[in-house]
Amino acid sequence: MKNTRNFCIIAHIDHGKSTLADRLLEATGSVSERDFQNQVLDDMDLEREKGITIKSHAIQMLHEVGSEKYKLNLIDTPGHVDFSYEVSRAIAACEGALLVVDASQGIQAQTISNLYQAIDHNLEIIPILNKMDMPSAMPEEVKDQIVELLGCKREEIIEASARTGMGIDNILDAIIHRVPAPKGDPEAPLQALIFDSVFNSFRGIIAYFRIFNGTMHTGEHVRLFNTKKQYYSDEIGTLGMKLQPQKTLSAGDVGYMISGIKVAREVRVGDTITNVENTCAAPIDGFKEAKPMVFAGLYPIDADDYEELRESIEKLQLNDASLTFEPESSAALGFGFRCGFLGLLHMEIIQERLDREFNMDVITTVPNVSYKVYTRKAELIEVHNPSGLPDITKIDYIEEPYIMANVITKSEYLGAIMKLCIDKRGILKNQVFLSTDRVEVTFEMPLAEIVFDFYDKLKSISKGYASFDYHECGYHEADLVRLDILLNGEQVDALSTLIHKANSYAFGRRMCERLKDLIPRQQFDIAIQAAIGAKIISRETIKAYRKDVTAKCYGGDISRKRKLLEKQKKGKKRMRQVGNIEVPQSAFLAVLKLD
Amino acid sequence: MSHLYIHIPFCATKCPYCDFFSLATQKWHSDFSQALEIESKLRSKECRDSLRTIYFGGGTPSFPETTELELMLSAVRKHFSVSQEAEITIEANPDDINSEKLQEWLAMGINRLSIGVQSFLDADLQYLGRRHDASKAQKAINEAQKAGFSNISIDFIHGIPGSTVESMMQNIEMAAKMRVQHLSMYSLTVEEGTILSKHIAQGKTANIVEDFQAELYIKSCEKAEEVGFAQYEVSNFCVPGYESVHNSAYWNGASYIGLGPSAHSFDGKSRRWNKSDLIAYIKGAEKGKIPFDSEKLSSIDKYNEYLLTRLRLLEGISLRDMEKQFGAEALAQFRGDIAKNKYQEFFVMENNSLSLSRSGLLLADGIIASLMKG
Ligand SMILES: Nc1nc2c(ncn2[C@@H]2O[C@H](COP(=O)(O)OP(=O)(O)OP(=O)(O)O)[C@@H](O)[C@H]2O)c(=O)[nH]1
Ligand code: SF4
Ligand SMILES: [Mg+2]
Repeated sequence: MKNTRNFCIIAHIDHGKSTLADRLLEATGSVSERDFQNQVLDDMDLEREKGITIKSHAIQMLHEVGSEKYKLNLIDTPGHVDFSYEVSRAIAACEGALLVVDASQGIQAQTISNLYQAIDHNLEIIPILNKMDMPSAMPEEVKDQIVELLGCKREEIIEASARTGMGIDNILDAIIHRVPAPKGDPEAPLQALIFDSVFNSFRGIIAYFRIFNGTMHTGEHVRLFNTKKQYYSDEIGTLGMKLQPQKTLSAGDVGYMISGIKVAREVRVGDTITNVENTCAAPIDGFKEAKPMVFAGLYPIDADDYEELRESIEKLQLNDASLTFEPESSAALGFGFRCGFLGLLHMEIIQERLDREFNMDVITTVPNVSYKVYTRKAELIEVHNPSGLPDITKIDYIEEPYIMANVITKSEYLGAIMKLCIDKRGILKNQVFLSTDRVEVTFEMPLAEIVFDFYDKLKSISKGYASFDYHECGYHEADLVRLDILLNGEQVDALSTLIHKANSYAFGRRMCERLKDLIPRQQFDIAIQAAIGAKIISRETIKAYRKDVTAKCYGGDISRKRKLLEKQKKGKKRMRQVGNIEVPQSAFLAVLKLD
Repeated sequence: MSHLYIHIPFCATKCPYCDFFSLATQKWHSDFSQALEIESKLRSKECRDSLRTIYFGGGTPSFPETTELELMLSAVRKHFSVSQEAEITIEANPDDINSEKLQEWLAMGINRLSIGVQSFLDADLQYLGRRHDASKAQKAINEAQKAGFSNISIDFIHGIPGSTVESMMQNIEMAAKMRVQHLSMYSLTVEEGTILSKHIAQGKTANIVEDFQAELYIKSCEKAEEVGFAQYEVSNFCVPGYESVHNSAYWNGASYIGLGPSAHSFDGKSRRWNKSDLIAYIKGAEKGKIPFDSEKLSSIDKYNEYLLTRLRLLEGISLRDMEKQFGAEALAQFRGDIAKNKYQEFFVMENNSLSLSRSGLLLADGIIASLMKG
């Protein structure tokens, strides 16, 4: 145990965590040259394409220093704010954290939020100044920031480049000498914390755990402390580039267990594994379950695919416990599911994974946050869906969730950012200059306002120089109305939104304009109207098209023509028939891309 | 009865809107006709009965020397049996037409001319980048008639930016006045990858306006009828009795052989198309192997093609014929599809045939797609 080190890599998005992990894997010979590719741990197609980490990845490296052999368990974490709960899981399994800071960017919002999580868990922090190879690196300035933030010594910061390999040896050294070896008693009753689980179609659920006390063997009866269910550990082992079965693992080790579990819900991340015969007295303090922040309806494009969609979402959930869903129905779209997501990126990823991994084409409706509706009878109803709003006459008041948003920016963009936050109903809570030209502002604002286009706007007004992080901070009363959209006089429930009254007119107008662009012309005129209650506040018309025919059809090229029409037909299939109007998928998310 | 198409892949210059397979070159003309001679021989077995039509299309069949055409046609006559009263058409550019050529064509047995007039308006012709002007087009028609051609078709392109309803009406009146037998009218389409589409994207050329084209289409059809041309297909009109036998074959599911690069063939079961590559064609012929792709039609493909060809015809789908070809069950299903189709108002049911109304023809692609299977 004294030669084991458990550590995670944390940072703001894109500061180079996964690339640094590559270098560490290389330096310790943990990945063969043949298997190597950039950001090798980002093994999901989507991660590779988007160039971001979505899920934490744990891997064991073996490293020799002199005659000493070390087991280094690394967990690479995602940087995007939607996935910050992944970071908290990784942190719970480690004694140390590499805090990576991009030398050209400096401390950013997630650097701070992830760091605080690590400090809360008493992890040893090793600050790393990455991307030193970049001409725009500002080592001295960023070191000042780090020293200020951590209260560490300047010499403790390791200069590195995950691109060139600079500083990698120093980092390995620091991991061995600065990260404490795990404590714990191998002889005590088993206590292992499940920090992640993945689904494998051949082997079922694979639980990743960290043993805090006791010893675990292949082929013994274990119990999950919270669910109280018992399992037989068919296989346990360590996490190399491939799974490496072991006979025993003991206190301090990170490993996996396969036990024929097929249902993801049974393996709760945060639960404690213990031994049936020699049960521990108390579970390890787990962590809070990830709580969905945004809700949206997912509907199959083809109504017949409802059951298939359910199965697909269930399978995704096996790998992604933060995804929640319950059946719902819509007058416009039929049967579907109300899903809860961690944020918009998470929602986008789920939608893409459904498409790629299950070939499920879905319509996603306008996302919203969850509201607390207090009725005149003093009941509290949680509303996840605009159409779930009780009748106006029955509502006493509505509360919406608020967040504390921390924005770090160069001071030149401060004015524009302040204006953005205030436009989004934010209230300035705090403002600190981190250095002469960098400032951190804290706003309290409605979560609903950041769900839509806050992040994109923030990026564009700050030319990418502002970063942003948030956490929930309770509910406040809000003056909300439901804005409905009517197509040829018929209300389309899937396009309804709950919106702050003050913004509703402008919003309704923009919705109509946007839908006019997104809904293709059809063989009749289409009236698009926005309404609040019975009152129409905006209207646009899509004129009927009159021509849809290829003039020439000869030279005998009938095949091409047939294929063109077959394609046209398929294109239509991807649209959803609402009344007799064909509405494309994109229209249901129109609201996200307003102006 | 069978039909034969010969693709002449040469043009004097390339028109900016065109996406047909053709090369603007003087080279390879004779290599090509020799290759075509070989292909005729190689493929003679594919057709046992006699040819009812032969069609020189392109490209610009009037562009190469007549001797090349003669070589090709005699090869066809040598390897296929050609019916006595075969319709033999050549597509010709007004530019290329002169009394000498006309006589040579007649002597070869060509009895139908399809002249690429496009418009009798110089501004239109300029937009289209054509080499001829309006007076040349008129002269070409006159000369052809003088030479003795009594089955002449002309092509119009309508909806050209800058043109008006009036100018199109004048075009059609002129066609009637000049007593041509057949009229093809196409809306200008901007095909991907053409110079025209590039110029439009760059803002160098005015774009087409679809609503204007729709209006023009209806008015042109009415006008054509008014002056004596009966419509028989989405884009085709004729003095009764002068339907293009060759093109009708495509729309009626007849089998045909296409010779030359990019030419399509159909034997009732499969479609094949020679590759759109002149050099590969010539080289292939030398080795006795014409490069092509093909596709065997499934029963769904056949059904879909049936819909797409027949519904373009004014005659429409004869329900009896559909039953004969696809069976009673398919017919019953078709009736069901029609009953719940959302384009109801565009269907015309008459004499146990289903066809599309005029505004229906304008939406034919969408309507046909909505009825297709699979
Ligand atoms: N020049 C330079 N580029 C680097 C360095 N480290 C990483 N990068 C680049 O920075 C980008 C982001 O790197 P990643 O390793 O994916 O960053 P990450 O922190 O894992 O990102 P997330 O997981 O999405 O939060 C990639 O384009 C890397 O090639 C470095 O030391 N120098
Ligand atoms: S003459 Fe005909 S085939 Fe040749 S380029 Fe012009 S339009 Fe195309
Ligand atoms: Mg990463």
